[in-house]
Amino acid sequence: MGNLLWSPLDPAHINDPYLMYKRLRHESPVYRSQTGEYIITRYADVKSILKNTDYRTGNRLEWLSRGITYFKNRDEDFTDIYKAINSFILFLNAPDHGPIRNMVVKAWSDREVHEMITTTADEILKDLNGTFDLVNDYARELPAIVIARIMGIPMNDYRYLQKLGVSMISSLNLYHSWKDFVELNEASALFVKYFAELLDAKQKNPDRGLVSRLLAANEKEKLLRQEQLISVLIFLFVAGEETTGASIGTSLRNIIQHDIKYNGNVDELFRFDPVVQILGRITKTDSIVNGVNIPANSALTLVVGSANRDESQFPNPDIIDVNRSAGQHLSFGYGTHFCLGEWLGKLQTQIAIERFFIAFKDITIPDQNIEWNTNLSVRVMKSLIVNAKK
Amino acid sequence: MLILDFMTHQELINFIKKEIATETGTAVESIDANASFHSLGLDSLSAVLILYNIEKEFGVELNPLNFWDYPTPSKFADFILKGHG
Repeated sequence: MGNLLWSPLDPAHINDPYLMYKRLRHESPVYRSQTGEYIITRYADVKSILKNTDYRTGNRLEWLSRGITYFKNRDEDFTDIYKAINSFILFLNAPDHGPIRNMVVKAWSDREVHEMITTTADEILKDLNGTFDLVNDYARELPAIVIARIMGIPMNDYRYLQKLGVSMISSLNLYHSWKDFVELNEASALFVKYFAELLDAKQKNPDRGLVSRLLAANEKEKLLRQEQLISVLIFLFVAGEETTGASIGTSLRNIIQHDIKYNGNVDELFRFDPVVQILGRITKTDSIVNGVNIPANSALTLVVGSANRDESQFPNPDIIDVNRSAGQHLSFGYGTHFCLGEWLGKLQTQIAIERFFIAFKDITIPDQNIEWNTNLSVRVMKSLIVNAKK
Repeated sequence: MLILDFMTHQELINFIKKEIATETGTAVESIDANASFHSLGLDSLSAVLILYNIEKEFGVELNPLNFWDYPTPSKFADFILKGHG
């Protein structure tokens, strides 16, 4: 495989994708991959495509939908996947995208969550000492509790949903196997069932949580069918906990490993090692990207993780420089699809780091061989054992 | 994996050809071992089941890209034998 510029499923490249990206940026910044999609790796190209609404989003929704139809002819029913992901906001295009996104943003008016996050972080940290798993005991725990509290999901349920979330997030993977379809379908069915029941419960006993607020907003605006509303809720939960858990884990690991004198510049950590490494777009018409002709309806793989390391945008990109002004990174996307939970993801990562270093000293990572999940779209450590003293 | 140990390159190619024939509805005899999967009418979806059936039959683990990294029946058989034999 040494001659292939693009091998994103190679575990070595998930562990460290940045050398592969560098080669692509220098040798072939618009690269036609072995499966036919175009891999875009330079900052200027990625940004200008994200800015341009002539490219549509929803690569994985389109492909998985085609898969559902294809396998239906083989007597396999994967329609639960569609029920779960049909209204994932990052997959939606105009004219649906704007109104749905606006409704969520408006309903999500309560942003006074600083104290709740701090208290939650401290509660988790209180019980940790010595040798523990930073990823599963802390980094993933915090945002799952926080998003459950924000949405009004009972505290008894977040662990169950979090477990399903791991399968659900694989809907964003670049490539899917048969096993992925099966797992994703199972998780989808359970997620849909859970949120249908939760909506019933909130209908009867509304509270101040985001689920109740969205239910009320939707009753007023009559924008979404029940199936769509459920999909939006699944998206908010999964995006809220999977990506943030990963960003807290990766950020803490980078600070510890590179012995960073952290000064609150969380943007530099997001630039250096983004969780969402890849975003997808599809060309509506024949297009030219960086001099390369791309026909209409081609899939584009925008490598955010590479754009953030583009030396023409960020000098010495492979070094974490906490004095760098790194706000131009693309870790939350750009343009109309800019991550609507960016404020929450940043705030939680920021607080999680602060509280962690207040709680602990002498933190070491005994084993540097880190196991990552199996895809680059959302890059997550499976665990990270640390030693720390109070 | 036991089965793979006793399998020749040609036998594995025949298995892959048979899978392609089932998936695309063409005759096994008409499939050229050195033709690209694309030209044999396969795409990212039809590859999913073929890959799965190979995994199941031989107890190997393959990722969805492997198929396109070694994109002919002959090359793919070679990869499976070398990587997992």
